[in-house]
Amino acid sequence: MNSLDDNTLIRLVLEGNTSAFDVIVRRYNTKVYSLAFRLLNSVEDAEDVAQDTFSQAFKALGSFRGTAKFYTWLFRITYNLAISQRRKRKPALSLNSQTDSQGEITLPSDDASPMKNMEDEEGKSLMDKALGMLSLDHRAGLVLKEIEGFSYEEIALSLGVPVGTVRSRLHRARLELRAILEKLDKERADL
Amino acid sequence: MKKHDLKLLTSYVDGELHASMQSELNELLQNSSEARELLRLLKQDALMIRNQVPMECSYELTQKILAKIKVRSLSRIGHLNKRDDLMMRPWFSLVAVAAILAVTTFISFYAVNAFLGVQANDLEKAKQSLSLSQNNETREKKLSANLNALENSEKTDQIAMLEKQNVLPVSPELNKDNEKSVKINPPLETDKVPFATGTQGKELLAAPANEAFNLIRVDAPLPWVLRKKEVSGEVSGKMLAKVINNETRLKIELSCKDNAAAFAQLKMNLSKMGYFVYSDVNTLMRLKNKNDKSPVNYMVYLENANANDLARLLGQEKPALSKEAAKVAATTSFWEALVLSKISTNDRKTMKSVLGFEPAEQGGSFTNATPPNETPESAKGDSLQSLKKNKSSALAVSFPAAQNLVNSAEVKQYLEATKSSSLSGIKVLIVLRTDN
Repeated sequence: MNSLDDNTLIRLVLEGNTSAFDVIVRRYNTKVYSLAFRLLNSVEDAEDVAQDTFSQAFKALGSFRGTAKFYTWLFRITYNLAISQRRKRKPALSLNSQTDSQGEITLPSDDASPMKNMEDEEGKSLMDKALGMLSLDHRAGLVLKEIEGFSYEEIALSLGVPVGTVRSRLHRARLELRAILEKLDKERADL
Repeated sequence: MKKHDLKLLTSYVDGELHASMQSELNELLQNSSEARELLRLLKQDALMIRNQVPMECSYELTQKILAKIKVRSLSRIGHLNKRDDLMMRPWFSLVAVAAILAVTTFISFYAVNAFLGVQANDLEKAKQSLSLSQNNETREKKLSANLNALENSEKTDQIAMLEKQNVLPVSPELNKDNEKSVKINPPLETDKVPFATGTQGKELLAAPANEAFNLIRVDAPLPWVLRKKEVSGEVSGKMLAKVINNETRLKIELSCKDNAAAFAQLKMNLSKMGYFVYSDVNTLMRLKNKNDKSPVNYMVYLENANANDLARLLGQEKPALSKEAAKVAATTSFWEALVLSKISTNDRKTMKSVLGFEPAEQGGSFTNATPPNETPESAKGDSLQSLKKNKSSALAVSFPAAQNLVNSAEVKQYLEATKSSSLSGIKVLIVLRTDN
């Protein structure tokens, strides 16, 4: 059953074979959870959203028409739930748990990693922080583009917006991210 | 850098640059070191995002998700399948169409009926306004004559009664006696009064089947309220009759369109039924003043009555439950609202504060105004019709809400008259409560 494609699995579920949905869950749980975490920057919230995503997907599976790819439909549910979840909670500054309460970067201190690794870690932390400072729409676009490797069309389907909107959002997101990174880099250099 | 150039760069990083724009980008990169540097940085940013550590979904979370799904699956899928199966049936569309048609017909039927009803009402109103304008003068003359006749009869009766009892305008001694009697006979303990149990505010009764009383909801602090919407239907009438027969002491609160006419009608009806109606001077003055349009609430404390008595009292000569009779009567009714309730503890207090005595418990007798020769049968709750034989008396007084009428001369006179008479005591008490 693991080798079956999404549409076949969905058909099986609708026919009453609910174990087929287990395959779908195992296939996409990490992607869904990862997207939720990157959008919400909270393990608890991401877990809640991931659970709700699959629960709602199962509930509304009959409404999935198969015209789009299943994962774009699934990510759209995740994205909408993340927006709802984010409204409930105060937005966080950083995507990474390695930041303190003021959002300042805390360097790894307990290992004897080489200087390069340290710089890499700093760079990753900086990127986490910069991504966290983007709006949810911009962050979602960049994550889907770079991490999931989605095309404009797939992002458009996942976010429920036109392709043109995706293009302009990504354009603004990249330039905004660059500006934030430069600013953070400068602040770090000043320290 | 131009906005267009920036778009070329970001589209390239996105991997979505159109082939036709590739040469344009190449030209930009060849000519602009700034563009080359920005492109490098944008590519570096994209790489850093891609290098983000992927978030793994834990085994526990996966199990949680699967468990949540399984809870749903048993009920949901079955439901979905059933629904789908149902919709796939060939007869389903026919049934759906039939249902829609039925609903549409039902709605249309009621809409047409409502429209026709409005038309009929408009016609009827037009006719009424015509007939009212024509009969207005005649009616006023009649009412005036009725009032005069009743006043005269009252005065004659009062004088006759006073002469008979030798009770002249109330003396200080009489007042003292009355106060004493109140003190000697303390009010009934409310705990023992069956009506005083915590049912105040509960809607209990339905209205008579006929709509002659033109009921509306009254915002009065009474225990039980009749509502307009409960008026129609034979069952309601039966319910009312049943309750009236069960409860021999009731309070009726009325609002009317025309105070003078309504009260004249009430007095006339009471007179016809053989009840003596006593009105104080203020009441009469007020009722005679046609310019006085301020609202008056009539509170009628009614004892030993049944549904027929009530209907007769309110000028409904046909208390039958037929709708036809109701329609006819509705056009001539003066009453706008009617609230029927048991006499509550508060009512008893009101009566006590106004008159200095309270009505007796059900099956008992009045605390202070019980004639010595009252028969146990009537005390247990006979109808007004049966009391007619005994020439039961009634009392009507008007009083401002804040005024205590215990020492009112009229009340004293009445009390003394009834106390020392051989009549069977107060059976109907009409109180006109005014706001000023």
